[in-house]
Amino acid sequence: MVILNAVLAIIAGVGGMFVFYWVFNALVERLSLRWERRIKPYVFVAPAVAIVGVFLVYPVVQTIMFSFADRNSTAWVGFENYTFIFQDDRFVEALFNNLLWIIVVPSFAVAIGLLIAVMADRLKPRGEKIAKSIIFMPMAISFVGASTIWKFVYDTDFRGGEQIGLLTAITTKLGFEPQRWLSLQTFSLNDLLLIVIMVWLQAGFAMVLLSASIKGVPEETLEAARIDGAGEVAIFFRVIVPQIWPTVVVVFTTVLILVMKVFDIVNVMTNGRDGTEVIANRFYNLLFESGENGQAAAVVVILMLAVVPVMIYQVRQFRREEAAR
Amino acid sequence: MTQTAAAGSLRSADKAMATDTVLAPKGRRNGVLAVRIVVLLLCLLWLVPTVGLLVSSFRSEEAVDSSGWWTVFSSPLDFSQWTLQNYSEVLGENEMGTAFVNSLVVAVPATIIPIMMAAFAAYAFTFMRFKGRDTLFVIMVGLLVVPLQVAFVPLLQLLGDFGLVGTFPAVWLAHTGFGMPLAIYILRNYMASLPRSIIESAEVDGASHFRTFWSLIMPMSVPALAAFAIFQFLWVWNDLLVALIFLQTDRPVVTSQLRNLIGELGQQWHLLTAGAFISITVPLIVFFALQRFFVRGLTAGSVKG
Amino acid sequence: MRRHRVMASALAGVFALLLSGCLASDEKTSGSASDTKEGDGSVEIIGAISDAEADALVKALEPFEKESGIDVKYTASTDFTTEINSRVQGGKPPDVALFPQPGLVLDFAESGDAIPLNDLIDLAPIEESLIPGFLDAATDDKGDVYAVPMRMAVKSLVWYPKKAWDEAGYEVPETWDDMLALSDQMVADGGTPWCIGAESGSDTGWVFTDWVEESMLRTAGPDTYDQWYNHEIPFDDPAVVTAGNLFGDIMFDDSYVLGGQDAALSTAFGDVDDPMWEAEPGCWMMRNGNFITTFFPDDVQANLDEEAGVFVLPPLDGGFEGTPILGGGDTAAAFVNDSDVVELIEYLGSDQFGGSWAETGGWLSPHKTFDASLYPDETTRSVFQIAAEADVFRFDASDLMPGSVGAGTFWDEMNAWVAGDEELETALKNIDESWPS
Repeated sequence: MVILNAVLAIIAGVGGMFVFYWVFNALVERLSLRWERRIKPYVFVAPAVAIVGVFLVYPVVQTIMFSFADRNSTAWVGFENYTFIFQDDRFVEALFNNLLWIIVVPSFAVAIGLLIAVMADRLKPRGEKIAKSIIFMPMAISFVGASTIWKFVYDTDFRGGEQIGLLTAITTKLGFEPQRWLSLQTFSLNDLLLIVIMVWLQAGFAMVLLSASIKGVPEETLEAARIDGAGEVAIFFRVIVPQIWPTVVVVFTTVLILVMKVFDIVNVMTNGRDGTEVIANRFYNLLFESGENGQAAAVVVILMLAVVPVMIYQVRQFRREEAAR
Repeated sequence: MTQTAAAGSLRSADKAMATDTVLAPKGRRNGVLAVRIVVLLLCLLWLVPTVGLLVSSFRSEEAVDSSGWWTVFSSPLDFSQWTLQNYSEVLGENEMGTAFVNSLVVAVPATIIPIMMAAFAAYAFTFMRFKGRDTLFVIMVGLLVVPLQVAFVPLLQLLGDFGLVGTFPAVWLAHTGFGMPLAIYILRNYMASLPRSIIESAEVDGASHFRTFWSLIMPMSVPALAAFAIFQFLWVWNDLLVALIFLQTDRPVVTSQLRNLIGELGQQWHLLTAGAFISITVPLIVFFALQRFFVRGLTAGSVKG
Repeated sequence: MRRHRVMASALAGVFALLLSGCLASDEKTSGSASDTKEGDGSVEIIGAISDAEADALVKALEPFEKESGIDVKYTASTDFTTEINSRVQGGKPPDVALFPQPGLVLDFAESGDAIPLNDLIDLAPIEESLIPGFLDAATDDKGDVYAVPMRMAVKSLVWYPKKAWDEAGYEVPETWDDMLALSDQMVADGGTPWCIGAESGSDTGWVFTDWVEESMLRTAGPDTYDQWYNHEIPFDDPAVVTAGNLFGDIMFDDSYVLGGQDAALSTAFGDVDDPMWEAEPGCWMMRNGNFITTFFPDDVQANLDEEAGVFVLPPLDGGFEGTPILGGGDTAAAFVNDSDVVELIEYLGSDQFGGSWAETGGWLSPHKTFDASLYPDETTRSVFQIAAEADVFRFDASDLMPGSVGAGTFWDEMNAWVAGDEELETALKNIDESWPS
C-alpha cells in the first residue's frame, strides 16, 4: 500500500512537470512566429527561475534585511551587526580559515579527480569502473558515516590503552608522541587535517564530472594526435585538457563555492575549537545556539559578498565562450 | 563479505592490467604501468578509511573501543571477533522498511524534477537569446553559496500558508530549489560544449526548439544528466535537515531513522557503522546503474549524424 | 547599454521586494496568554528524546490518553535545536516541546512564542512537590513560568567500581578533603583516582563546565551561584576563580587523572568509564550524571547494583554548609494555547507522570513525592534520594546562561584552560567579555 502510494506520488510529481512544459510549449507555439521567439526562452527558464526565486532568492532578500535588524528581527539597527561580527575574533579567524580551505580543497579535489578520470580512462573498462567507484564511494557515504570513519583515523588514546586511531597508531609506532590531532595549531595542521576529509569527499565529485567530459572528447582527435607521433603526456596536455577546460573551470568553481560554505565537517569534528572556525559554522552557532538572527544574517551576507569575484569571473568566462562560438 | 568481494574485484583488475601490459605497444608500456601504480595507490589511499568503517561494522562495540580495526587482519579467520549484531539491530528497528520507502519517494522525484527543469533552462541559457539571460545565469551561479539554513524559516512560513509542510511535494520542491543552481550550471556548461552546428542544421530542417531539445540535445547530454542525477540523488538520499524541517518527523526517512537509533546522547553510536553501509547501498546502485552512460562515443555518434 | 537596463530592472525588483517585505511585527508581546481555545482532541509533542527512551515516553503518556481521550503524538526530533527554531519562527510550532535546556525556552519566552504557563494552570501544587529550584530555571524576569519539568537529571554523582572498591577497603568520602585524601591514598596504592573525559563532538566542554559549577556551589554557595549565571557578578569574579581552581587542583594533577589533560580533552564522555571496570581498575572514580549509566558496559548495566557504586560529590569543608546538588532536566513548554495542551501540561508537570517510565529505567521524577518504589534498582532509588534530600538543588548554570555563553564560550574557554592554552583568569575574562549585552 505504502509502495503503491509511493509509485503514484512519483508518477504524479514527475509526470506533472512534463505535462507543464508540454502544454506551455504547445500554447506558445500557437502564437505568431515573432512572439513565439520572444516568449519561448522564458517558458523554458520560467519554472527554474520561479522555484529558485522562491526557495533561494526570497530567503536571501529576507536575510539581507534581517542583517540590519536586531536579534529577533523586530527593529532596525543599521550596521550594528556588521560592526559586531568584524570585532568577533571567531569570525575574523573564520575568514582566514575559509581562505585556506578555498585555496587547498578545490585544487586538490580537481587535480585528483582529473588524474583518476584521465588515468582510469586508460584502463580496461572493468578496472576503470572499480577505480572510479572507489574514489566515488566517500560521496555516497552519509555524512554521519563519514564523520565516524574519520574518528577511526584521528582518534588518540592517552590512557595507556591501544590506539584505535589509524594516524596515531602509525605515528606512535614510528616513535612519535601521541597527539590530539585536531588541536594542533602549528602551521594550521588541524585545519589541514579537516581539509583532508573534504578533499577525500569531493574528489569523487570532480572525477565524475571530469570523466563525463573526457568521454566527450572525440576519439578522432586523439587518434590524429597519435598518428602525428605525440606521446600520451603531450596528448593529455595538448588535446584533452583544452577540450575539457571549460568543465575543469566549472568543477573548480563549484567545489570552491561549496567549500566556502563548508559546515558539517567542522561542526562535527571540532565545532570551530582550536582555531578551526569557518564562516558557515559561525553562522550556524549564531543562529541556532545563540538565537542572534541579525548577526547570523550579517555573516551570511558577507559570505554572499565573498562570492562576487567568482561571479564576475563567471560573467567574463561566459562572454568569452559566447564570442568563441 | 563486501570486503572480500572488493578485494576479489581488485585482484581481477590486476589481472586485466597484466594482460593489457603484454599487448600494449613497447613505448607505452612503462607509461601504462606508471598509470596503474598511481591509480592503484590513490584507490588504496581512498579506500583505507572506508575499509576501517566496514571492518568496524562487523565488530562489537567493546572490540572497536579497545583495539584498532586493522588488528583483525592478523587473524581474520578468528570468527569470534566478528558479529552481525550491529546490522541486526539497525535492520530490526521497526519502521526501517517504511523509512527506506519514504527515502525513495523523496529522492526519486527530487532528482528527476530538478534535472528536467534545469535541462530546459540550461538549453535556453545555451542556445536561445533573450533579455536578462547573462544576469539571470550569473545570479544562479552566485546562489550556490547560500547556506540552506537561511531558507528554512521563510520557507516554512510560505509553505505553511499553502498547507504543504509535512507533505512529499514540500520536500521535492525544496530539494529542487536547492539543487537547481548547480544543475543549471553543470548542464549549461555541458551543452555549451556541444557543436552549435547541430542546432543550426536542426533549425534549417524546421525543427522547433522543443523538438531539438527533446530529440537532439537531451540524448546528447546524457553523460552530464547522469552525472548530475548521481549527485542530486545521493545528496537527497543522505540529507537529514531538509527532510526534518519540511517533511517533519512523522514520515521517517533513512537518515532520520539512523540518527534516532543512536539515542539522544549518542549511546549507540557504534550502530552508525552498520547504518552507514546499509544506507550506502542505494546510492551505490544508482551510481553503478548510471555509470554506463559515461562511455565514449555517446556524443561522438550523434555529432557525425 | 541594454545590459545595464536589465540590471537596473533586476535591482528595482529586489527593492520592491525589500519594501513590501517588513520585519516581524512586534505585536506578540511576552507575559500574557490569550484565551484558551477548545482543543481538537490531539496534541503534537516534539523533543530530543529518541529511540528506546522515546518508546518509554510514549508508554508513559498512555494513562493520560486513556483518561482524557486526547490523542498525544510524540515525535523524536533528531536535530532538535534546528527544528524547534525553524518551526517556531516559521509559524508552525508543535503544540508542546520538550526542551533539554531551559535557557532555550526563555529565548522563546522573550520572543513571545512560548506561552506563560502560570496563566494556564495552577502551578502551586506542582511547585509544592517539586524539588526546589526546578521552576526557577524556566521563570523569566517578570516571574512568569514557561516550562514544567518532566524529567530530572542528577549531576553531582561520583561513580566507582563497587567490587574492587570494597576489596581495596576504600570508604566513601564525606567531605571534599576526605575525597582528596582518598585520592592520595589511591595514588599511594599505585592506582589512579580519577577518570575525566569531556569529548562530546560539537558539544565538547560540558563535562568541565559541570565541574566548575559543582565547585562554584561548594565554594561560593547557591546565592553567589545564582548571581553568577544571571551575570549579576562578572564571570571572572574572584569567587569563580576560586571555584575553578578547586577543580583545577584535581584536573591538573597528573597523578590524579588517568591520561592527564590530553585524555580529559580527547576521551569521549561515554567511554571514559571503561578502564574503571577492569579487574585492576585503571581509575577509581568518575563524576557524571545519572544518565551516564546507559554508557556503562553491558555487563555492568546488567548488574548495576552489584557492579557500580555511587556517592554524592561531597561538600567542601569551610565552604557552603550542606550538600548542594547540581542537576538538570527536560522541561515541557507550550506553544499553542488550547484546552488539550493545558490538560497535558498539567499532567506532565505533576508527580503522577512517569510511572511506567520509572519502571523501564533511565528516568527520574523531579517530584519529591514521586513513588520511589517504582524505580527498577537500588542505584536509581539512592540517586533519587540524594536529590530529594538535597539541602540545595541548583540547575546546571550553563543551561541557564544565554546560549552563546552556556553552549558556546563557556565550553570553549574551559577546553582551552584544561588544554593549558590559557590561564584560568584569562579564560574567565574572555567568557565575561562574550556575554551578550
